Parts: sequence; C-alpha cells; structure tokens
Amino acid sequence: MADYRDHYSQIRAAGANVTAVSVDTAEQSEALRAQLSLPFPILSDRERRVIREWDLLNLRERGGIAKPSVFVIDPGLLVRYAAIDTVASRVPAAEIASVLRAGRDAGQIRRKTYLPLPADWMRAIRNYFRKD
Amino acid sequence: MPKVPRQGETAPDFCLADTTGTERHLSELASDGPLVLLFYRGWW
Repeated sequence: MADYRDHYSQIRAAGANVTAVSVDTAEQSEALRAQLSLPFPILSDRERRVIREWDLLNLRERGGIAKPSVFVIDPGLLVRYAAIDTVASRVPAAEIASVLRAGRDAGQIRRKTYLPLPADWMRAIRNYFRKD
Repeated sequence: MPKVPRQGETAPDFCLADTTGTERHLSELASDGPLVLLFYRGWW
C-alpha cells in the first residue's frame, strides 16, 4: 500500500486512479488510510462477497482475508492486468506506473522478490492466532 | 463459480462502501481512465 502511495502521482499522471479493497471495517480502513497517509479510497468487503466472487479469499487466516493482488481495470471493465502476490513476490507499483504511462498491454511485468523480515514473521504469527 | 478475472476478460462489476459509507461501483471507479485495484490483507 505504501509502495502505491509513493507512486500515486506517477499513476495519476498517467491518467489512472487507485482503489484498495479489504475485509476490514470502514473504521479500520480509515485508521490505516490516516496512518499511512493513503491518498486513495479503501472499500470494505466485510461479507467477503466480492473477494469470494473474484476467488481471492484466503480462508487460512482470521475468518478469511483477501489474497494480496493487483488488477488494472480499463473503462468498460476490461482487465488489462491481473496478478496475485505470492509470499515472496510482489508487483511493484513502479512497474504498474510504467505500463499505464505506455498505455500498453501489461504483458510482462517484472515482479520483485522480497525476503520476509523477522517483523513479517511476527505479523504472520499474530495474524494466525487472531480472532475477529 | 468464483473465478479470478484474467487479462483480456471483462471483470464483474461490484458495489462496496468506502470509508465514508459511500457506495462505489467498480464501473464508476474505472470510468474516466484505468483503475489500479489493490486487494490487501487488512489491518494487523
């Protein structure tokens, strides 16, 4: 999310918008928006309705959360790009920004590999035992 | 059947509330240019 915040002006300059979705409440999402100074809206899918329909529901963690994923949706709802993150590989916002700038098909986006840090493991463990 | 929308396909429209309680349609969010749609894990 912070990565997309940092590239937000580039994405906007390319004529695109950004929106995020999670299973959090509006209050939790607003707190996160404030904490990270996110300049884009966050939508709440409390009932996991869209996340289920889009087959992005990860049932292994706290009642089901969204699998981290990135889509580029063109007007008319044509999907230009779709990617689901893996544990160690993510789609960098800079890559999305360059695809938007070029106005081209997002054929080959280079993913970035991340090594989990101790803090990531702690978060994963906390998450695993969390109930809500 | 749940299905991840793939490149070249048409995404199903949806309607969800933002943090102000306003209902937002995907079709409206992606109407005046491409939309980068991020699904994320949520608060922890």
